[in-house]
Amino acid sequence: MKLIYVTSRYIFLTSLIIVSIWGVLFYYSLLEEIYDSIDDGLANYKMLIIQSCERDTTLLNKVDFEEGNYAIRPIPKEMAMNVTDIYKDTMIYMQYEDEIEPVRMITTAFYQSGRFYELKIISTMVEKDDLISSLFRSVLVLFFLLLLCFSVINYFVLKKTWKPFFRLLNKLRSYKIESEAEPPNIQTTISEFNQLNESIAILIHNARASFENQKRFTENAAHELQTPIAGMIHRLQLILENNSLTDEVALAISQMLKSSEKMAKTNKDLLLLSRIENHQFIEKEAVEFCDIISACIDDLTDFAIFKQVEFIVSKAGCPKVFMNVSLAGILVNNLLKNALVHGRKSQPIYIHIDINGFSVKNTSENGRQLPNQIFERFYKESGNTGSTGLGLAISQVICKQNNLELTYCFKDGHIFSVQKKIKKII
Amino acid sequence: MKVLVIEDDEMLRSTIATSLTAEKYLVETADTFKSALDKASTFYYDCILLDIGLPGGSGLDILKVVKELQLKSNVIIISAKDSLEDKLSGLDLGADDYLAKPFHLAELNARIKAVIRRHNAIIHNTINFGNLELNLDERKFSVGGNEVELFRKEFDILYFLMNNPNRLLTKSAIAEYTWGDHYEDADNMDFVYSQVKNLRKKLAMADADCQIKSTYGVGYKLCMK
Repeated sequence: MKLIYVTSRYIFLTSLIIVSIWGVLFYYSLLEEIYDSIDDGLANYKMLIIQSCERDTTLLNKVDFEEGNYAIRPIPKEMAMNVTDIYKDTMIYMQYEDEIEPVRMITTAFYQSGRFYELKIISTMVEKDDLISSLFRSVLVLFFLLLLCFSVINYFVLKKTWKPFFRLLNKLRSYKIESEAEPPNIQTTISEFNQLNESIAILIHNARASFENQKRFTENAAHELQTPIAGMIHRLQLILENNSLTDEVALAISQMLKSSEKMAKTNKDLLLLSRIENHQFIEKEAVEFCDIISACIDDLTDFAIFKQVEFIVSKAGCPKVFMNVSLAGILVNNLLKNALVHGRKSQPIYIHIDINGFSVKNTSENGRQLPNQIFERFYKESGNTGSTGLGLAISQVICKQNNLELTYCFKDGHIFSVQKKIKKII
Repeated sequence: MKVLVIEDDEMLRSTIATSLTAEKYLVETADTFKSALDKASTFYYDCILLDIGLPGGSGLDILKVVKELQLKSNVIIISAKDSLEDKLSGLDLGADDYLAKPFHLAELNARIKAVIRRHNAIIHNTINFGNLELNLDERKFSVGGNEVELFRKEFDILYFLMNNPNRLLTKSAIAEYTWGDHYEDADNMDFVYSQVKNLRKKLAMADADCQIKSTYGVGYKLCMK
């Protein structure tokens, strides 16, 4: 979720709660004010009516509200003695609105000319549901106005204050730890972002140190292993050449030899990989891939004949890449050999070359798409135990370092394609 | 013929020495920079096997001295580094060949023979075993004077076998020799098997007086019938 949505969500929730609590409180205090003022009016009216009754006794006969807003009826003394002023809400039929409406009514009693009377006065009142709905509407309007203001402020504040952060984020996104470039840095006066800046610089520094360390470690380890492995292999070879060995012993030793050689080969590939990663193939020239490919096909001809596989080359141009020539050879050889080894017997291998690169296509035993992990180190399709699982990883690294792109797709066969990376104009 | 093995790893040094002694070379060894420099700068050797990383100095310095003194010893660099710069600077300094560890002893043997053969500038650059003759310049093969057609990899394998006669060569050694660095799978072994099978057929058809013997699961050996 984007930063702006997160903050907006909090603003939305808090203003919703605040505005609704405020609305309820406002409703009750408003209602109280209204009652208060109505009741005051009723009390005042009561005094006026009682005074009027003293002057004009005909008023005492007004037993119904009818056109007036009060009613008087005589009551016995005992009842009158118990009456206190009672304000209450009640309902009355209103002709104007043609419905029963709530009214405020005061019930009281008074004494005149030796008799007791009960006096009821009514006053129209605000309709609560009308009040609530109109209050709700204005609260809603207030809420949305608030929300709008907050969002606009939030948007601009975020945009302004987080600007350095997003700049840093952009720089980080395109930053590669293996590149030699300076760690991303931004100029800002906000101390939190400065801290972030520093933390990132330290983090990158440490990560790069351990990355370099790792690279060197792989190279040194592989290098240190070469000599003892070589010694072991030679010893086994010498034993094997001893004519007095029985077949069983010879077979056992040759199996040991095979394992040692596998070890040596893996080691050698690892060494090659780390040397490529460490940019140790410095000498570069304009390499004509057509020549490399045809030389490689030439070299593989006997093997292809043995597997009854034909190379079918279609050429629509010739890519020229500025790179190390032995790495170019390794790249082409890896891909062609890969196609030969994994391809089916007597199924041709298609090589297409154009100005931007080349692709190698072969059919395989299991005609299905391979997972993306094929480019990972030590990835192996089951059943092929002879491979070190480093060939494609090496090809991938060679491509990466020379502005080429190695991709795999499955379309009636496995297609590995090497294309020049088109530099994006930024 | 004299060979000097300059290598600091004891196991490697002794196995190389044993293998070369079996090939009837006169082998001397040196394990430090100083002793190596002493020997290499004093005597002539048909071939010096030179390790680059030595205790006390770089093998490349020994190579420089040998070339400056114009001792004409052939030098093959054997290095664990397998790095291009080492290879290039070694060859620039006048080394005759470069072999990356680990290598097959049979391959080392083939390389030494090739270097010495080149050095002796034999006009007819051929290898013979029994009535087999391999012409390296024209890449032609004949049995008892009759030419026999060979595919390229068959030729390479036969060359490797004839350079190491009477010696058991493992299939992987043959595969590595024929493919260079890039041998990697079971298919290669099948390929070697089928190439050797064809070679055998051709040798038998041409009445060769030698044969390629196989040791099951291990490898092949070229020997007289």
